Amino acid sequence: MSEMTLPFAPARETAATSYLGEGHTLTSWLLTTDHKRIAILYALSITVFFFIGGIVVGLVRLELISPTGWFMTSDEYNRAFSIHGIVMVWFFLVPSIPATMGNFILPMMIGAPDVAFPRLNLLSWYLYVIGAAFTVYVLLSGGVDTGWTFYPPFSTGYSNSNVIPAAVGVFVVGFSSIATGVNFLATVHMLRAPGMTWFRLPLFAWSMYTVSMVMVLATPVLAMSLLLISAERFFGFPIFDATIGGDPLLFQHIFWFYSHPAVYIMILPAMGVVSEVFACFARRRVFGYSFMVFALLVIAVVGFMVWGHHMFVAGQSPFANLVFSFLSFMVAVPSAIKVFNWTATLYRGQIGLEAPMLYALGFVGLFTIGGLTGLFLASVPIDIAATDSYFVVAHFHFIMVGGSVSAFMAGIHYWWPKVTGRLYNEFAAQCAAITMFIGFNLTFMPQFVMGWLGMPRRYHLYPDVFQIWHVLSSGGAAVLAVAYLLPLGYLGWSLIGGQRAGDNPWAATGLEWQTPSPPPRQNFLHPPRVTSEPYAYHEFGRAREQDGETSISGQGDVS
Amino acid sequence: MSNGGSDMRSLWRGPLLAWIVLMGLFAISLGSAYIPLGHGNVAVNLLIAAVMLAVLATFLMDLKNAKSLVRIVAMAGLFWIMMMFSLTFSDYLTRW
Repeated sequence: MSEMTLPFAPARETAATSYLGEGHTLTSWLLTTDHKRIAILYALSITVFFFIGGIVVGLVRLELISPTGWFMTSDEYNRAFSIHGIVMVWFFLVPSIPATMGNFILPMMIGAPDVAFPRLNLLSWYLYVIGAAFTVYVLLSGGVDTGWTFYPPFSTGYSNSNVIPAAVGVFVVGFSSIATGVNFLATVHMLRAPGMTWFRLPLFAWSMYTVSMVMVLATPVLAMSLLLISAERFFGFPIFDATIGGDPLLFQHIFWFYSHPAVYIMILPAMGVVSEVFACFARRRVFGYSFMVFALLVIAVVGFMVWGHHMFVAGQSPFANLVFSFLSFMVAVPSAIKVFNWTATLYRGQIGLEAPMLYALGFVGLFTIGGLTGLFLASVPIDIAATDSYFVVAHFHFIMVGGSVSAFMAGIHYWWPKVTGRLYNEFAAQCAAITMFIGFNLTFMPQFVMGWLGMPRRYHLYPDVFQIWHVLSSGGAAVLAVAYLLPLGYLGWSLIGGQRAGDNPWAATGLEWQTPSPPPRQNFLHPPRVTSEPYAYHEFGRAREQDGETSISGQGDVS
Repeated sequence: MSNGGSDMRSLWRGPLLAWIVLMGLFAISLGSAYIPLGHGNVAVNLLIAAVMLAVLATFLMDLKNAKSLVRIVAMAGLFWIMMMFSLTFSDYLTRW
């Protein structure tokens, strides 16, 4: 299976020498090639960008409390929501789960001592930080008023903002995505432990594999679209400008060829996380494992064929609308398979409502609402009525924030004891999960209503009749802000005063739990050998009430 | 030492020849644009592009000596670009 080998832990390495103890200098972190440390670097960076995007949208929601505007001009409002979109999509959501949990957990999950190309991994972080920091500097010092989509002819011919520098920053960050994708593909192909066959891979590993395919195949097309925008804006090349022979819809075709799969870059990893959490906290084997794998693959492939549903009213031909509408309905099928299988996994499970499970349950509810409203929008007649309205805004936030961020939080809480070796305050975490669910619904449910009533997106001046919905939504955003800040407090505190977690506090299966917490530099004290299927909770007889009696440390899949 | 030099020559020979062929095809493509063939110009240019693609994949990407997994990845790339073009043309060729 594997022609590539990396060294495992030397004999002198013990449980006491964790990756965190490998060096305490700044250089030991900035020059590290350890996938676990790089994951931490990514986690810290994306947290900073998340809060930058969050603060800006806090200002946007504050502005929208009044129907006549409050403290922003229309131009400032355009720049504010553009910052929010660009930062949240490219600097938080796209790298969120793959670059943090994927980097940390994937090699451990498949029994590898590191990723296939450790130095490329570090380079990807540098590309990410340089590109993202440059773009944020550009956005805050003058800004961009095109929205995150950079549509021509506005972006190429009319906008008086920093379009080209922002495009360059996003372009650079794209290479970070590609590097991560290539690395994960090579890692899964080449570095699986003996016995870790393809259909023994945990679903999170499968999700990382499929999302890597999407990253590698789609991101170059984003780079191409941004280069073409820059070429037309800077040199006047006739590409998108209809007055000199170009076609503005061509940009939308190219841009959405990347940007719709980008939605799956955000949601496929979330699906992987949730599958791990459900199996562990329901003490159940994942229902229909092979269907779950094929559903991930089908979503990754069919997700490339639906981009035209963003262009139903843009001037695309009615025939193309029909084709893309049909394909968009098709992609709902594997998504529905996953939701049904998660539900079946819970059936007769011994469900524990610890924080990761609460976040995961929130994911399923919010993802289902987001998915079903996506079907509304896949229907051409409904989309014509709802396009560019708050209905669309609510729909994609249900998927990308309700879905992806809930799963991100589920994963952070689930693997926190493994990453840090510490336990967090469970009650505080449960409160944060419930607060997030309430805050999210309060923020975005009113947006469905006002969108359906006709409130367009990207306007800060609006008729009085919509004010109640905007006020409710802004109130929800405040609750959501509290829910996002709470984990900073109790997770931060756990690093100082948290109880020692032990190797496997959740009594979970999976290779990453069969090694000390925090793990040693090369992940395992002994090279692992996989002898069983994933999620073998039944086989170990690990019912919840037996956890205290059954010794599992160092057992499971490692022999 | 002489072996090393021979290895280097054989390493460069294939890509260099492929590059020369690509440049030749590029010149033919440019030249054909000045010959008034009507719709034939598009057909000729597409044919030249297809030959260029074959040369590039076979010799520069070295797919002729690659393992089957690498060939599958390259085919996947081709499949993806075909999907991109065919669905985009479902718009352009059906506008009225």
